[in-house]
Amino acid sequence: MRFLGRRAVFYLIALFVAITINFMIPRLMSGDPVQMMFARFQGRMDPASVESLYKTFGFVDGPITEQYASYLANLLQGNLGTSIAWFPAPVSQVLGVGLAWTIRLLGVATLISFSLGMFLGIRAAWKRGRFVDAFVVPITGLFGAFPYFWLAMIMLYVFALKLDWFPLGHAASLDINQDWTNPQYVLSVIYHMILPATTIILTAVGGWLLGMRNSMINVLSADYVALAQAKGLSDRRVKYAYAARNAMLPSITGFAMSLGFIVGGAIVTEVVFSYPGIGYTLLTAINARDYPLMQGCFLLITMAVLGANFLADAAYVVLDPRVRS
Amino acid sequence: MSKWFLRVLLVVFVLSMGVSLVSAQDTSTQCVTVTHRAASAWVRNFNPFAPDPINETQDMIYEPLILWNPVLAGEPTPWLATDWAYSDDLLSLTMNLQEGVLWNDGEPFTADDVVFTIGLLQQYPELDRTSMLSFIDSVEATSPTQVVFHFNKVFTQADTLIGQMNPVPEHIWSAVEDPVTFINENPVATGPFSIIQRFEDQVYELGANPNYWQEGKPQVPCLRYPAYPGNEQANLALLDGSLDWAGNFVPDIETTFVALDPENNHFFFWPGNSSVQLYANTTKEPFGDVNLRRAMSAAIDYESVVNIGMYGYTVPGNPTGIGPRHESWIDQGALDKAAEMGLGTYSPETAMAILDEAGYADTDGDGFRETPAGEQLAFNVQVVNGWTDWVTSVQIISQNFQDVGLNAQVVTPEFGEWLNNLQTGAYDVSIGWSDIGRTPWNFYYNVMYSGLIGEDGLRNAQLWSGWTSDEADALLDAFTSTADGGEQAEIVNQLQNLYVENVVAIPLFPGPAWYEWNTTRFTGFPTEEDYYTMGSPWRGNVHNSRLLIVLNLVPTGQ
Repeated sequence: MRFLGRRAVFYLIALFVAITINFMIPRLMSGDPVQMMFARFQGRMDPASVESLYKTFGFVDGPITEQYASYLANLLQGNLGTSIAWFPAPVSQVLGVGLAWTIRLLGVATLISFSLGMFLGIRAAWKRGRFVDAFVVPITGLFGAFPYFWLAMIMLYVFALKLDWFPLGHAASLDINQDWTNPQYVLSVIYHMILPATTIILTAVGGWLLGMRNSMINVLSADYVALAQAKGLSDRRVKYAYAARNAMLPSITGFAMSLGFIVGGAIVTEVVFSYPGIGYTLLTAINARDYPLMQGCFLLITMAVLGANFLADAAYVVLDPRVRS
Repeated sequence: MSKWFLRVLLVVFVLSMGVSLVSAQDTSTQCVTVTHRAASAWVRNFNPFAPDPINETQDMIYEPLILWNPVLAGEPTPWLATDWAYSDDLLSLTMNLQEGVLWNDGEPFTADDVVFTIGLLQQYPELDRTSMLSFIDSVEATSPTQVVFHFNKVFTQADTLIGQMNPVPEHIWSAVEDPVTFINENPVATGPFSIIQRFEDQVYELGANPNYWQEGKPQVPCLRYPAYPGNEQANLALLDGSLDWAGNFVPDIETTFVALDPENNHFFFWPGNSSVQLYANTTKEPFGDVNLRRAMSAAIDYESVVNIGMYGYTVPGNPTGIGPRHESWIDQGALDKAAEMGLGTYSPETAMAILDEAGYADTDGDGFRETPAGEQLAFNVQVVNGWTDWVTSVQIISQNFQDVGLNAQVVTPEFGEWLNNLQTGAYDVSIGWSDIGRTPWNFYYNVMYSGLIGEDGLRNAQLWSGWTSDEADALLDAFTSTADGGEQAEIVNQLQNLYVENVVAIPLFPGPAWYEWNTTRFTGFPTEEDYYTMGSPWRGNVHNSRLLIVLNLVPTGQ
């Protein structure tokens, strides 16, 4: 428990530093929100509107210390402010739309690629040189080495455009109303998720697999595994309860990190498959110099990564008795 | 591979096949499906005063008083206002409103709503996006269908700006607590498609207004806007046949799009948008030298820029900066002067002769010319990173410059930095857009009017070359002080001459208005032969062409 307490203090300090940096980074970029909004219309907006926009976005003017103070005060009340690119929608509303879809897609994809990677890694290490080890490992490694956007475009071209097995994009069929109680809509969401999720899994699974395989091989040569086998325990028990449990420790940290990074979104997946998500929201925010929205995105990512790391620390306490002492 | 895994795969596969069959049956193809801007998800906002609401809030939902049709070279089309006239002293404008117009909740639209809307701007000046309050003093309703605007100064662009205002209903907005942050989820408006029948993360549908004031219109039941995060995704949907109307850039469009279904797939890229030009920073030496800018203009291979950089989708620019939209305003005198100066025509020989004469010679033998003062001359031409058509164009141009001995290099800063460089005058040469409005006045005003330079020295609008003069300011002011068409044309002629003489910027090509349409389900779109208005489905500064189009659409029954 003392271990977790110390970690908690550390995370709180890290959070505060991150919040301050989140505030600074957007303001270090050249250009300001009004000029960017005006420029986005490329001469299709009346120049007189510049003045009215400055008045509307008054909150981005003012001295920097004042802005920082009000930013902190607002954060403490859980208020992320008003988005500029989508004015007057609140940041929380803009983030909410993308976040839900991002968590659904990347959550599923990350879980599947992690589980699949662990499962295949264990098998590859257990039966070295056999099918999984000799074929699946190099093939997933190959997929992992592809540039992601290229793989995604090829998959879209082949399976959606040419074969017409999957939709060309969007998170659900546009012909079915968004209604989570309608099974048809839910099925449509799953159907639309298959192709983007598969591309993510294909590129991600190789890394998990290889990491798990290597650390499993190390563990398998340990004395206690030999002892377990000598005791006559079943292969299954030795494989999972003795070897895999220890071999998974490094992967758990990686898994926690990747869970945290989920909320950063996957911009390329979102763009290629017209999938709504936080990655595109962040890109739009950056292009529009939408300070409040950028801060909101960064805050979300910071909190998720820190939170996930804290969970990983907690998981270590459970999995590794040495940490507890 | 274990059996359970295969079984899961099989189940998922069967399920997805099932869904695809089910969703194939359940189609609502009666909506006109449109795309015009990149977005991965929509955020609900129908406040017409917001800086960037859902794009249809203006025109489709809240209508203008006067409609501006870009193909009419500045002639107005009456809309919610039937006719209007300035007083003799130009200090007031009397406007008669269309009778029998209803808000979509059944209440009548009256002069009081117009008066209320102006009052709203006076109460919340930050809503005044077009600076109408800088000339409007007061406004009164003299009858339920007549309003009189009183001005505090003579400004004959008043009808343009007032015509573009979107009146809001007094009986709704008077109860709105804060109109600045009002999301306006279900707008009460007069527009033909002002019923929000569906609004989801990735699609919204605007339904026809049953109370619409034009008899028998609209003839299509709804407009549908799916979200596409990029041009490629929107193009796939276009090729797929799921879009009826689009404003996309499509490479090699004859083969990629038209050839798929020549009967129904059409496109027409009218080069009627604003002039894309090369700006030289005239406040930075040696670009203040008009002869250097002349030489640059003569050195550019406009045909190659248009055919390679722009895929042949537009035409070389006119040296006056006025494009096909305002062709009738072009002054032959200014064109003659441009020809005499060697502007706008590709001729490396002319460019080199101008440079030789002005004293730009290669004195140190490195293959590039030095300035007349003998200093090294090497400069950057900046273009936005990733804007491939512009990047290609600028690459051709910098090669052209090198061919005549000017050491030009291409730099590609990110969008925000690129813009910031232009506005703070921290660049040498740059490609950039310009403005286009009801008349050529807007174009010249935005590139030459010194009043647009901010107190902090920021070069707002497109004052990027930093070239200003009292003469230009006086002409631009004179234009807005007269309502006489002949006088205005004369002023525009003088502005053209000034622009050409001083090579304020180098027009490269007029921007094409991207426009594709599919006649499988709907007809009535403007065609190349009958281009009754600009075809692009987006809203422009001072034009509402899309409103004319949606009212002209008819289902084919397919």
